[in-house]
Amino acid sequence: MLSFLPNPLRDFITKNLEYIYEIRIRKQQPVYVNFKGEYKKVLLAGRVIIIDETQLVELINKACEYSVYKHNESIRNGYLLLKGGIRIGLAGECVYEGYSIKTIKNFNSLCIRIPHEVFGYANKAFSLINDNLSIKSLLILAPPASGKTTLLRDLIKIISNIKKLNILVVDEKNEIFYDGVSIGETVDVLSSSKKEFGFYTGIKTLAPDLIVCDELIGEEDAKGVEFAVNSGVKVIATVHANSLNSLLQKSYMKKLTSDGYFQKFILISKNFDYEEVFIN
Amino acid sequence: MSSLVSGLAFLFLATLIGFKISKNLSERKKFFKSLIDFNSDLIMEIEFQRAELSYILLRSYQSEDFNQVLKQKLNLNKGITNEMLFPTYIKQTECFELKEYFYKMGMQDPYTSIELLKRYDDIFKKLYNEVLEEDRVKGSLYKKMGLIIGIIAFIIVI
Repeated sequence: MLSFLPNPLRDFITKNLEYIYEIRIRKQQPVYVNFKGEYKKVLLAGRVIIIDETQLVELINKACEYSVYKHNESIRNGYLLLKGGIRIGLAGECVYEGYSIKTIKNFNSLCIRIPHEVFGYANKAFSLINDNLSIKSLLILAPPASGKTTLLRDLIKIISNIKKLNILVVDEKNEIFYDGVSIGETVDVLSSSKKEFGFYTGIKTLAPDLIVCDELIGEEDAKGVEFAVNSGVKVIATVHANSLNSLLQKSYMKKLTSDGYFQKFILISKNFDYEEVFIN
Repeated sequence: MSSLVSGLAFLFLATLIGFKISKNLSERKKFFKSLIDFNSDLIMEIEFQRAELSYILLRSYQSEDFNQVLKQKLNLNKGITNEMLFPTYIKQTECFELKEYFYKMGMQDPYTSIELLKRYDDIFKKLYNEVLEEDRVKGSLYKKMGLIIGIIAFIIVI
């Protein structure tokens, strides 16, 4: 899974995989990892690990299986998606054609996210939204790298196993379900799909009871949620926010929060714990 | 009797050497033709299909030596080998060019890749034309020289 990483970094990560959620590699800078929720410099025999330009280029090439051209569609969106659900966020030189990004090249730093399946993580969330006949629509507020996708993944499986609802997962960045991860029996996944397609076409063609998506961003996503709820479909979604205040500052979320489109709200804190929050 | 045998042996050896050198030229021709075909396929894949390099490297071309080079590149990418080796009839300057070509393969975004491969297409076509010319001038010459030298050696020995 991590064969693209250079040694001795690879050996270190493999030994501690259970506790590592993210690896930060920056050209000519020490490597950092998110270890049990905290960012720490990687030290081996008391020395930092520094990845130089040649190693960074080789890392990307290996990650792309020497077919960088094949991954251009995701590269121009700022990431690479590898087998096992590993997602590499990319920073480098953006090449534009008109107003749209043609590609990114000369990478200078990477943010490698390592997915984890945490069984039972969503039990508390499920009990919050469990309704007699169905479930309640839920909005999950979370800052980046706080475990919201991990929570979503577990929650989907619990709902599928217990409630047997038809669940449509709009997995825009192929992060929620990936090769090798267990999926519920009543789950349909639209991978690499824009939320617009998932909400409008998915409802018409796949007749879901529940739509799940990650990271609501902007008016279009909000309109999709409105359409779904007004069509009688429940929605579970996430949004980047570290508090209710920061959520309410997003103009596109105002209507969704004030008009009852979501019935329950959860806030995930940096240490992966979460609790219910209430909109006044 | 022994001088007849020796004479025949010289004749055979000289003719064989002549044919071998001529065959090398023919193999060079096939190698560069295969290289041009492969490069065209690679450009097309990157422009349209975007198949992974590992699949493209599994294809077969006219030159068996070239197919072996593709296998080497595959092994290089997998970390099985560290270096690429080319047939002995590839000149040193050509080896340098080929090593650069195979090293850079697949490492860029599609636009840069296509630009680079089109430049290599010009280089390879130029090399191929030189090989064709070399084969035209020297191909049959080496065979004839081998035979003539063999006959002369035969006459001298007997």
